[in-house]
Amino acid sequence: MSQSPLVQLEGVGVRYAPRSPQVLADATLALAPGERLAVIGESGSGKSTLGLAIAGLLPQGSIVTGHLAWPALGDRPRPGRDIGFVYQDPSGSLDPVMRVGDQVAEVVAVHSAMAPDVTPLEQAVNLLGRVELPYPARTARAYPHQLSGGQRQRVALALAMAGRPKLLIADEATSALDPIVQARMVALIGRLCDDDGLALVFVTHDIALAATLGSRLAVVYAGRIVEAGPRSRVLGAPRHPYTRALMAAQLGIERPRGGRLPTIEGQPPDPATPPPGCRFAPRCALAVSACSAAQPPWRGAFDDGAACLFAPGNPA
Amino acid sequence: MNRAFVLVRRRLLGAVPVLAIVVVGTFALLESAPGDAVDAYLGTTGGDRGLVDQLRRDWGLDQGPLQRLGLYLAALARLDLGWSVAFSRPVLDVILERLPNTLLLMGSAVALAFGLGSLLGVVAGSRPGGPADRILSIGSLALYAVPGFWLGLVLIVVFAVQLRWLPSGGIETIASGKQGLARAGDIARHLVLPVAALGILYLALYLRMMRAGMVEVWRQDFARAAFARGLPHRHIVWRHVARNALLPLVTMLGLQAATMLGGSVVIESVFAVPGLGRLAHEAVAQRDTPLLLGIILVGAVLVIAVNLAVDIAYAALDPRVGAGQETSA
Amino acid sequence: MSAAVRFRASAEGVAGLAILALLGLVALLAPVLHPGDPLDIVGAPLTRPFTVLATPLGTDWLGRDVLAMIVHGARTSLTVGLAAAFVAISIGVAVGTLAGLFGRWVDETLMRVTDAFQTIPGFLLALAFVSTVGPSLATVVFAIALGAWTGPARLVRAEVLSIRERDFVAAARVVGMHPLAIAVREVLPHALPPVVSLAAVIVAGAILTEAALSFLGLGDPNRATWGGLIAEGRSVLRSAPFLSIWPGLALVVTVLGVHLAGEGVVAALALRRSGP
Ligand code: SF4
Repeated sequence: MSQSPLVQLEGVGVRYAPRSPQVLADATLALAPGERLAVIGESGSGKSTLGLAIAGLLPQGSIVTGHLAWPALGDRPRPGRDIGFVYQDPSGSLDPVMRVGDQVAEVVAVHSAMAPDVTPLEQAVNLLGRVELPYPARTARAYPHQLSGGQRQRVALALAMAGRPKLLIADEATSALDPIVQARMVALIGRLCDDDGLALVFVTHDIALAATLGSRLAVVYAGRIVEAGPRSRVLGAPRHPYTRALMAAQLGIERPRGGRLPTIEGQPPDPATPPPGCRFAPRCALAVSACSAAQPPWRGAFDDGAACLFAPGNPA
Repeated sequence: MNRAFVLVRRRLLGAVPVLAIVVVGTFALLESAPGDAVDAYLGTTGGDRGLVDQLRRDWGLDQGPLQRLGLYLAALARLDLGWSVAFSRPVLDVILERLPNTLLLMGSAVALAFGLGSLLGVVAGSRPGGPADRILSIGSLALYAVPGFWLGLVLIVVFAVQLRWLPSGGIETIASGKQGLARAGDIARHLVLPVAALGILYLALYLRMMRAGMVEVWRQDFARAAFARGLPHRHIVWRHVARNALLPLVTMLGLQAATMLGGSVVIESVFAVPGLGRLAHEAVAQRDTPLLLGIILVGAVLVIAVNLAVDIAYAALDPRVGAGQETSA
Repeated sequence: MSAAVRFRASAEGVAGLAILALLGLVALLAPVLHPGDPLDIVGAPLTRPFTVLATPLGTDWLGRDVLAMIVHGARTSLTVGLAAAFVAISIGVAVGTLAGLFGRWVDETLMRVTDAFQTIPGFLLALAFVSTVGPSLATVVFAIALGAWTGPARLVRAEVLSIRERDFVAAARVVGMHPLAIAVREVLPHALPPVVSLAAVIVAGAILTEAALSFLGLGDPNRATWGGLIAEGRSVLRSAPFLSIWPGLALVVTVLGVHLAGEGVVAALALRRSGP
C-alpha cells in the first residue's frame, strides 16, 4: 500500500467488561483513504463490535487491547467529524421531537461543516437532497414520525455525512429495510462515497450486499477475522471453509424471495466458551484433529489471506 | 394547530361526566350537612318561623331530593353557587374575590417548582451517578419529606422574625397606598415565603422526575447516536435529553394541579394570604358548607382548566401527539 | 427471598427501615417511655430545650413536656398514616380490579368516578368530610383515604388489563372459575407488586395530610398529634420557635424514613422484574 492508511488495526481485542468474554480477538486490518471494506458475519460474530471499535463508540467500561492508529489523520478521530456512523435502527437514532432538518443542521453547525455563505439549515437541506429525499426543503421541516423507515434511514445517513467525515461506518444500516428500499439505499451509499472520496466500513450479514459495496471484504466468525482480501479474490477463490460455506448458503442456492437467508449447519460457538483451536472446527467439513490443537495461524498477506490450516500461503 | 383543537375538544368532552359526578357529589354532601340554604340565609339576617317556611317553599326546598338536585343544577347553570353563611354574601362573589390571590400564589409556586426543579433535575440527570446527581438526589428526597406548612413556619422564624428581611404574612402591606410597580413589588415581597413553602415539595418532585426521565432518555438510541455525531455533551444534555425528558413532566403538571390547590389551603392559612385555600379553612371553621362546596366546585373547574392548558402545551412540545391518523409509520 | 437480599443491598432501603423501626418502637413503647397523659402539665411553662433533664426538649406554654407529646404523637402519625394508606390501597385495589376485570360500562363508570376524585383537590375533600362528619381518628383516616385511592386504582386497573389476557387467566376462565375467584386467586397476586412500590408514597402522603389536618385543627382533639403541636407552637413562634420546630422535625424524619424504605422496596422489586 503506497498511501498511508486511514486506519490501522493490529491485534485488537475487545471485552465489554473486565471479566466478560472477549467478543473480538486479534483483529488486524488496514483501510486506505477512500477504500471500501465490507465486514461480513453472522449476528453475534463480533462484526458490529469491530465497527464500534473503529468508530471509538464502544460502550463505557469496554476494554480494548492491541493497537488502533489513524496514520492519515495524525490524531485521534473525532466522532461525527472524522467518522460518520449509521446505526441499524433508523427510527431510534433520531430525536423524536426535533425537526429532521434542525437535527442535521445541528451537526453541521457543531462541525462548522458548511460552505462560507451557507447557513447550517441550508446545508442541511442540501444534504437531505443528496441522500435523495424527495422535496428536501419540506422534508427538513418534518418530524421523524412523519417519515417512512427508509426515509428515516436516509436522514440518519445525512446526519452521518453532515460533519464531512472521511470515513463512513454503516452497521447493518440497511437490514431493517425491505429489499427494494435496501437496494436503493446501498446504491446511494456507494454513490456518496464515490462523490466525496469517503472510506467506508460496511458491516453486514448479507454477503450479496457486501459484494455490492465492498472493494475489500473481511469475514468475521466467532470474534475473529477468518478471511480478508480483495472482493474478486475472496469471492472468486475463497480460502476459508467458513467463507465458502457462507457463499454456498447465501449465493449458491436460489434465494427464496423475501425469505430468510439460508444458514450453515450448526450453531456459532458461545463466546464465553469458545472451542479450543480453530473456532469453526465444530462446524467445519475439513476439520482434522490439528485444527483443535491451536488457533490456526494467518496464512497469506495480512490484508489478503485466511486463518485456516489449509489455506494457501505461508503463516504470517 | 389542528392537533391541539382535537385534543382540547376531547378533554372538554371528557370533563362533562367528571363535572357531573363532582356536582352530584357536592350536592349529596350539601344535603347530608345539617341545616339548609334557608337556615344559612336566615342565620345571618334573622327571621321567624313563617318566613322560614315561606322561603323554603319559594326556593323549592320542600320538594323531593331529585327536584332539589334539579334546582341546584339550575342554580349552578346561572352561576349561582348559593349563599355564604359566614360572609352573608353570595358564595361566588366571595370566591371570585379570593381567587386571584390563590392563582398568583399557585402560579408562582408552579413556576418556581417547575423551573428550578427541572433545571436541577437536568443537572442531576446530565451525568447519572455523578457527584452532583448524588447530592441532588439525596437532597431532593429530604426536601420531599418536608411538610409545607412547617417549612412555612421555619421560614417565618428565620426570614421574618430573626432576619426581618421579609414580611411574615398577608398579600400586601395594608393601607400603604402603593400603586403600580411599587405595589407589585410589595406583593412580590409578601409572596416570597409562601411561594417557597408551597413550591419546595413540588420542586423536589420535579427534580426527581426530571432526573429519572433523563436516565430513561440516556438509554435510548438517539442519545448514543447524538454522541456518535460528535455533538458536545452539554448540547446533547440540553437540546435532546432534557427536551425529551421534559414531556412527562408537563403531564405531571396537570396531575399535580389538584394536590397543589389542596396544599395552598394550609400555606395560605400559615401566611394569612387571603386566597381560596384560607377561605376553605374559614368555611370549615364557621361550618359554612355551601361556601366550602362552592370552593370545591370552583377548584374542580380550575383543575380541569389547568389540565386543558397542559394538554395544549404538551401538543406544542410533542409533535407526535394527535398525529396518529395522518401517518402510517 | 432474593428480593429481601436486594432490599438489604440498597443503602436507602436499610436506612429507611432503620428509621421506621426506631419510630415504630418509640410509638409502641410510648406509654412506657412517658407514662400517663402526655397532655399533663409537668413543669414550668416554656422551659427552653436542653435546660431541664426531666423535659429535655422543653415545655410548652402550659408547661407540658414537649418530648412526651412528640413520642405520643408518633403513635397517632404512624397509626393514621398506615391505616389511611391501607384503606386507600384497599379501595383502589377493589375499584381497579373491578374496572379491569369487568370492563365495558363498569370500567367506564368507575374510571369517570376516579377522574372526578382526581379533579377535586384531595385535601379540600378531606376538609369537607371531616368538617361534616366531625373529627375523630376514624374520620381522619377515611378522609385521607378518600383523596388517595385513585393512584392505586389506576395502577391496578392497568395491571389487571394486561394480566387478564394471559394464558393462566384464560385457562381459569375455561375451567369455569367464578370471575371474582379469578380476580382474587389468579389476577391480584400478579397485579399487587407495583402497588406495593406505590405504598410508600401513599403512606408518606397520608402522614403529611394527617399533620396538615390536625395543624388546621381538624385532627382528633383528644390525642397529641404532630400537626396539632406545630399549630399550638405558632402562638409563641416568636419567643419559643422550638415548640413548632421539634414536632416538625419528627415529621420530616418519619416521612423521609418512609420514602427511603420505599426506595428500597422499589430496588428490590425492580431488580426482580429485570432478573429471571
Ligand atoms: S483450521 Fe481446520 S477447522 Fe478451522 S477452518 Fe480450517 S480446516 Fe476448518
